[in-house]
Amino acid sequence: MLQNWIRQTRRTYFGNAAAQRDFRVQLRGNRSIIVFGLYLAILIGVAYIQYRGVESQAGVSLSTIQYSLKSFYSTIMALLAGMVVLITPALAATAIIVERQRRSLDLVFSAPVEPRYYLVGKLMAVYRYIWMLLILALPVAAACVVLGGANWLDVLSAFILLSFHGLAYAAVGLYVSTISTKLIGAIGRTYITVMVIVFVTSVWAGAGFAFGTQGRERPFTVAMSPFMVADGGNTYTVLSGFQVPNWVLVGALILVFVRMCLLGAGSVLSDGREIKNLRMSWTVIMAVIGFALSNFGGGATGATFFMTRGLNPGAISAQAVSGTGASVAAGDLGTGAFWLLFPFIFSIFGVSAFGTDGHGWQRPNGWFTPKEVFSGTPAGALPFALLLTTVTFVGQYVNTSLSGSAVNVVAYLPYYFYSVGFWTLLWAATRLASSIGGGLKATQTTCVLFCIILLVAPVVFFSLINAGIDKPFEQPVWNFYILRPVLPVGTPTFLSALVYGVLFFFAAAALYALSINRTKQMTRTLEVDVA
Amino acid sequence: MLEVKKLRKEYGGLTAVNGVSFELQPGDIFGFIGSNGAGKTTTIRMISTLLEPTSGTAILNGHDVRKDPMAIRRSIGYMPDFFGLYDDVKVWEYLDFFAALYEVPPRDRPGVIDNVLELTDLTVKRDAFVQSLSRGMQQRLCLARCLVHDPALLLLDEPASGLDPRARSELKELIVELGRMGKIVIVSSHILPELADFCNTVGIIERGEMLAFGGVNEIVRSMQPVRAFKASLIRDGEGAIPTLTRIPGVLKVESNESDLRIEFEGSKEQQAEIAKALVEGGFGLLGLREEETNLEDVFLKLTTGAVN
Repeated sequence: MLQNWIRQTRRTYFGNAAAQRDFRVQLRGNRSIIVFGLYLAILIGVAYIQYRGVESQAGVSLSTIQYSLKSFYSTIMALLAGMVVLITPALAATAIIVERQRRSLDLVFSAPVEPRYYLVGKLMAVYRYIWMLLILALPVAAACVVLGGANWLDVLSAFILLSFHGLAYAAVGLYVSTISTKLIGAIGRTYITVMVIVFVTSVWAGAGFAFGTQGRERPFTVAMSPFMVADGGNTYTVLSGFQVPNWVLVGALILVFVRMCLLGAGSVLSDGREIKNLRMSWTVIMAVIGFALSNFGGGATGATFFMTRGLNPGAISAQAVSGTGASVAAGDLGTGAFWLLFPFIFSIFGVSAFGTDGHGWQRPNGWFTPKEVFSGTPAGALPFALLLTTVTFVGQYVNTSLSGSAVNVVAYLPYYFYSVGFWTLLWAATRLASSIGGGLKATQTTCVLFCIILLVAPVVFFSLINAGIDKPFEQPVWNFYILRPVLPVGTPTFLSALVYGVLFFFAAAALYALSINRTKQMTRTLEVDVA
Repeated sequence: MLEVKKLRKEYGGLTAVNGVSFELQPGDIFGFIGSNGAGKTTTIRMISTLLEPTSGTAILNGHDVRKDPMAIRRSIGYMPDFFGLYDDVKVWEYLDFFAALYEVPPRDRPGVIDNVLELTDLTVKRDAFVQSLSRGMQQRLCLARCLVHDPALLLLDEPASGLDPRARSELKELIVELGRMGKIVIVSSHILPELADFCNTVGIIERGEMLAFGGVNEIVRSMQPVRAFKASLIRDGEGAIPTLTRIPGVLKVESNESDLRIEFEGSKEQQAEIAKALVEGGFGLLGLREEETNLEDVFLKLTTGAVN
């Protein structure tokens, strides 16, 4: 078995046929020469303009010159980041959708090829291309070193980080390409997703620089933005007394992220056969994230600051910043767990919906069947949501308790209850939307609208009516916002979490009750439609 | 040997394939006949492991499609009813790519590619881009792709669709050659006379169910228990009916002006009596021939054209 695993792994990563073919095509003809030529022209042009700016600063102090050279290096790296952000999604987003349109996937998967092999091959081709772009930029980066804006370690760590970021965007592109049916849609969605990721990670990185410790010891979040690799690349986090380079931590996180994207894409390509693997991995990852981002052993670094409080900026306190606190507020923990799970909102509608979409269909095979938890069918959606919520909360609780911090269970459990209620409400809304029978896409659109009405519209409305008021977010009207118990403003109480939890369950029960008869009717219609 | 056992595929409430079973030996060329939507492609996709059967299975040389799909994939070559070719690669690169997917060792690949190109008569196009090939050549390239790993079973879904008569003829010869090489070939097609030419076994499927399976002649005979003759006379045939019905073995005689249709079940001697009676009776016999039933007739008789 081990021998087989080694053979498969070797086959996947060395001499991968998909990677070779894609790379060969990428470099064929004039296209690559034009792309590389343009890329180099832009890079050299910007570097020259920037250098002339530095050169013209005659008679200024040495520190100003140093600052300018540092800025020169940062600009070059930001430019490289821009290139990676622009080029990578375009390469990856087309990788699978083009094959699907050409109908060559069936040919590939009638060969002894696992989706993992093929997806890794596609990813490797893009990754190799990213490295080509980075290596082409090496002379410009070397100029920064020669002029004194950076050292080789800075350049190397920045390049490694940029390549990791490119890898993450390529994985996003591959995933989106796999689930999309149209080329333009795939490219558009990939760019939007990548832009959101870049924005969020840049905010985190900025926060890391603003609130973290000084010098090279920084929270690992500073390395999470591609546009800040110049400053964030050569930093480290102290973990258990060891200085761990932040590019290693971010690289590890990105590899996990890439794995999940590939598993997601693989489950689509394998007609659902990989879903079990995907869901089990998510369960483990959420448990680990819940565990790791709870207290992290009470370490005194900026990373701990982010891990413990960074997800809940409202809870920032001197104690948290210094990282010396021995106890963690149950509210902070519960709120953190909720927001850790929040990205699941992008999946809950997909996993809960039933109906047809022209290609396949999801049969309404029950509302709550624990044994379907890893199967990918609608009956397993709610059990899976509950499982993810549970492992995240338990992970947090266990680590916090192990690190000697006392967690008030009575105050903590309402947040768990609130989270479970929240997911149950969204699940019930999806059931109702599905039962109307417009198809899977219509269901998901309806649910997105439902979320906008429920989660986004109140923010706009309450902000408008409180405009000009002192401390607008602390006005009582915000108590009517369903995310109030987990908002990083004011002082929410566990009681509000409990009350909202109860309300969620009542609302979910009502929506589900409305969907029952429609679902039965829908099932019959589906049978007829498919027949 | 390929054993297909009660293969069944359901999509929700629809049963696309319902308990299809058959067995094929090395060298068999099996014509899979059915209307669009009858379940041919679904069956082929299940055998090629691209679709998981709802129940039942297919076993190729001891490997089960459900339990060991990877082993099955190593032993089959699947050619769907579309090309799915990569335009931006050369012919040899395309074959090299699939040879790598089929785990052909790198050192063996050039030889394998040359062999399959020779077999499919594409050697001169080795360095041409795939997009520059004619439709017939692209079809042959698809077949070459299926052969790079020397599979025991070839699944060819509508391989002749869209080909001109010459390309069809070449493809037919190639398939016969593959059968001679000891491969099991499953060919689905609508062009029944062609299948009858080169298949030694056929199966007729409708609404997911196998209506008939066996040798071409065997099926035709089974569909024609009573032989029928057509007689052309100078005079009106009506008058010959009493004479003919007296001959032992003649079951039924129908007249259509000067033509007669005689249903007969008897010996050769009794058969000879028909001609003799018509000549001696002075009916002016112009011709007497046996009605032939071909695969198309059998297909039309067996099927209703209904789909799921």
